[in-house]
Amino acid sequence: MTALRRRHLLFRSLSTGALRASQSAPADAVPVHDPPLAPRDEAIFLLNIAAEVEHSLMVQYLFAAYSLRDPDQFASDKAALVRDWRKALGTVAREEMGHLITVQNLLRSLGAPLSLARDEFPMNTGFYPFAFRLEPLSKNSAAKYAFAEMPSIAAAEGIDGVSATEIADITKRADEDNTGQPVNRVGKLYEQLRTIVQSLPATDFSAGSVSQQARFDEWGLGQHDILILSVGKRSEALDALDKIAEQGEGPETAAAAADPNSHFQHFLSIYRQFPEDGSWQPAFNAVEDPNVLTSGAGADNLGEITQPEARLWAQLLNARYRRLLMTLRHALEIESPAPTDLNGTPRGLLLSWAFSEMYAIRSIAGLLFTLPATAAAGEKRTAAPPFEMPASLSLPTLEADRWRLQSSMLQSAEMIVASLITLPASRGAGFLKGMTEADTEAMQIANRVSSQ
Amino acid sequence: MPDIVEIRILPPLAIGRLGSSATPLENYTLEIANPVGYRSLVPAPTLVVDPVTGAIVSSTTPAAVSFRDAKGNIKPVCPFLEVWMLTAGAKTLAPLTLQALEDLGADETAVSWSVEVGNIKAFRRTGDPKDKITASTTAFNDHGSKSLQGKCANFKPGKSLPFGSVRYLKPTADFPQIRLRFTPASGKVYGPKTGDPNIAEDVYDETRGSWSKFRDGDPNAPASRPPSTEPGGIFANVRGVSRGYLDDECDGIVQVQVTLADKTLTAIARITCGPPSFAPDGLPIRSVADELEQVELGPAVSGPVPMAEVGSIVRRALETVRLMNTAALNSPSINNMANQDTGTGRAAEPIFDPSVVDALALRARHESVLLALNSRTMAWFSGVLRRYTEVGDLSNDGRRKMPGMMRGSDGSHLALTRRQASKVDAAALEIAPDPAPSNAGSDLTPTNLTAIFYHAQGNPPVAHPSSAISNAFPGLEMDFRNVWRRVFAGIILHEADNFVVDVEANASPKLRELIGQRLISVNGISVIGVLQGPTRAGGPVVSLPPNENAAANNPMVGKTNLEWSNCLADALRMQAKSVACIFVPEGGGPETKISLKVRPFFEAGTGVIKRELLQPGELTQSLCSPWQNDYRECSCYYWAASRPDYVNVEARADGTSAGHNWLQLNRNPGADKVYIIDDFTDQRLVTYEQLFRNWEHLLKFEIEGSDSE
Repeated sequence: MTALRRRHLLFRSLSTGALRASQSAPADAVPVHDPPLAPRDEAIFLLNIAAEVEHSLMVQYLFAAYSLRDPDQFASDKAALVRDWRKALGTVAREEMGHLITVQNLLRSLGAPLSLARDEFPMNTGFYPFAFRLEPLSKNSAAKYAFAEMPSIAAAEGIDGVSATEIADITKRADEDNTGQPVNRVGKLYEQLRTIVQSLPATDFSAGSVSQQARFDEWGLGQHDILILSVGKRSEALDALDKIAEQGEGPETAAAAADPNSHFQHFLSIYRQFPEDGSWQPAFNAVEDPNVLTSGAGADNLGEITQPEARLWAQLLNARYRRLLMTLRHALEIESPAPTDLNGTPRGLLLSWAFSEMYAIRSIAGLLFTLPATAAAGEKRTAAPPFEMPASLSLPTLEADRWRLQSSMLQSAEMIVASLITLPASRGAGFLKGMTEADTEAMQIANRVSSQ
Repeated sequence: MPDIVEIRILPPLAIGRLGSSATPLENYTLEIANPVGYRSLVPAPTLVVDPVTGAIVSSTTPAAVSFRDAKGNIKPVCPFLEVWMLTAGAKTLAPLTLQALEDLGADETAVSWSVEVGNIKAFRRTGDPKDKITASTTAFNDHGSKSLQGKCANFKPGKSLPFGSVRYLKPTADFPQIRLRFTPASGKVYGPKTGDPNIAEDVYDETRGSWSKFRDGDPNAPASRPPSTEPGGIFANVRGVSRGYLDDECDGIVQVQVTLADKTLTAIARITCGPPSFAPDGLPIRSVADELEQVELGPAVSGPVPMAEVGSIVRRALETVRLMNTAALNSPSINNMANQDTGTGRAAEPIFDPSVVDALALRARHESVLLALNSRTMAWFSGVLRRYTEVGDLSNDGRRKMPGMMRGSDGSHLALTRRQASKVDAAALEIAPDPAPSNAGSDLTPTNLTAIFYHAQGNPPVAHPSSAISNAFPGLEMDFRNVWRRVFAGIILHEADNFVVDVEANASPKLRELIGQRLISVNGISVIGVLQGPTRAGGPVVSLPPNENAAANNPMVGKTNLEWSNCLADALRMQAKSVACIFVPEGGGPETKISLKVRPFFEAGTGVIKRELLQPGELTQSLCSPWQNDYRECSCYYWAASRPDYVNVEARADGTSAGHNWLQLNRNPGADKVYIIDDFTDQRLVTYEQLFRNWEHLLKFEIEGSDSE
């Protein structure tokens, strides 16, 4: 893992109020900025952490979903399970995406810059549920996800059909999967945010920013479980925080956690059904924390993908991920057209491009799991989608330059494609051809706009 | 050679396309070279017929496909119909050839043809049988061209309306199969008045017939007048009164007879014709081929679906959307789906969020979905598809389902056929690899899909049912809704609404009582769906139209009729069997439960739509008269693959799209690309009169979304 930047954090005990430099009792501690921040400033600070948490969870859940093998290779009963898990993980990942987008709306409403970062803050803030880890789905990882989305242990044991023994096993497995560190409930972050937001004056929230915020109607594709909420005033901010917390980031009550659509129930089902006897392998034996860093031979980077074709596909996925993030940022900087305005804005095109990248990432991820991670003899691990963050998430100031960035990103991606298609018998020829056609169209548009 | 037991004409349904050139359109195939790119028109072997002898003299692949001749006239699509035979003990068909006839002790003169076609558009409106225009040939076995001259009792003495011609092609050693060729008419408009510059000839006698005085909803209309078509008023008119115009489209039946020493065998096929496909490198999202497949195989698929089948649906959606000005279609401030929904009492609101409807944005979205098929998952797509029972759901969620902004055969928002939707559902679970290509000619069986979808040698793709739109409101090449009118033996349904318009001759008194009543369910499956939506922007979803005074037992309150294709798909699995039907009087009242027999859809053992379902002229009877009218006024935009809307599209300096309305006159390359909103009074757009007089030279063919000429 890349070394994370440090932030100015202290931990205040909820029971004593004492400030400490580290968490001695994570369940009791709430991170606070050192030195203290003005309320609005602190709200923005916490929203940045929230954005990272949502982004991290989304990517980890997506990875878990993609790591499942094709159902058609299993007998029908197991195939049905794998389909259900894929669907559940996909649903939860989409909902985390909704949370991420709503957090952007909260930031915009407070007049703060958007944040699509993912690894700016240390993991041990007490707000992150667990350390960021891209791993194939397993019983342990399912337990970890379930624990993170659980209400308190006492509340969880009050859910029909959930026993203390089961909760204890989930807790133990979750901690094991988190390299021995306890897994946190994410609810604390939103509790803290709520407290601060409630204290902010109404004038801190901008109704005028709503026209630039993401809207459900642009994003949700009719799936109302995806929470994309506009925030024009304080009450809407509080409502958004409550809804995000209720949907996934730590339900407060057993009743909420018992909801079959709750994240906890989704992960609980997977945990219960996932085999641990090795009788069948629902997930690929893939590298964990895949990456395409240049480590050098013999370096301690077990996740590095070095098989030539797989490495190129992994690099391509990173390029598409970069374009997804930057295009999303760009789209959210553009006003939405009025409902009756026949002359639109390019926001819709950018959103479509962002969706295109999501689909492309899905396709490339699926292909990566079919390729070996390294060219070493006897390599049993497959490659996997690295989802590495780009070097910069900064958006150029001038609109024309933002479109030049589009063109540059596409050209960079096509350079990787060009390398791929020169490989003998490379996979995905049809997909690459279509991608190039779509990229060419997009570049023409980007060049046209940037040349003005 | 084994004894011949049956003969067939393939294809069972062939589409001709109008054009005045003496040269038929060349053959070509549609190839997909790029997963998200346009289809390419690749020249293919073209059968050249000697105009004197009627023999095919060569099969030549042209250097290029050109839709016009040197004079700029449009080349008509003149489909070939081939005769095939089934011999004793065989399970597959073989071509009927000169050699086969010889082996049977006969020759080409043993084959005779007869053709009967009609254009009964005026009759459909007036109900006057003397308004039917029909043409037929006596049986012929020579190779001369047989003109199809439409006669009508309400025509002026000596006048007729040409529907084109048919020709029994002379079989030769090089081209020995028995064939007929249909050449459609030129696409002219006819009418009643001498000197009318809009028409080619004054054929209609206003002193005999009422077509030129016809008005939909005329309070003084005789009781015998049929109910209006849906949509109504789709005929050339002046302030609602018909101009009495007619076109030279037709549809009908071709029959072949082979007379041998010991038996006579017959077979039929259907022909129809429509305007050219002006965007021939695309196919409609929902086509007559999809309908026929659903009839033959049922509304549900089982097991994994090959990627090519699912990809076809998504690709056709892309090809349709590419030619639509979706931003214009989204705003309720102009005449489009969003606006027309307000007729139900629904609040005037855009269908989609305005952010996402620019043409370039939607094109990119569809292309990415098509590309995503490569990941062999489309789970989410199944969730956004509109089901056939949801067409009347005018809530925000309902209107935003796919396909978007298009009209279906029931006048509501378009749903795919149930079978198409089932394929998408199946693909959500799993997409199968595409099967290995088969030699289609070697496994033609008499009734299976390969026969129904057979491409005769020399026929371009636009002669095929896959090029004909089936979300008919009313349609272009045919109004497929007409096939359902007689689906239940004894009664005649409205083609587009759920009520009984008439009964068949010799119907029992019990059946006669059903006239005017509404059919509401068949074997427990409802044929009506909810009609609901908000009556104010952002308001709650309520039944539409809001009507507190409606009779409590009126089952149509808050409901809308569903198109027959989908809601009767289950009943079609009960062909020749009886089903339980429930009728209620218009406005409410006690139910009538009655058992009715479902007619077989195809002629026994063939892929030909049964004679009892459709008489000559009935497939096209509810289309616009003339068809040019439809091109000018309909804002429904469900037919973009045939009648484009938004062309020459490119990115503006701000990243949004700019392009032309396909009907706008000034499209010079230097002109600023401003899309002129459809308005029949706007002289910058082709007018009705210009279409009547000169559509052939005003309308442009679009290739890759741009003017190709």
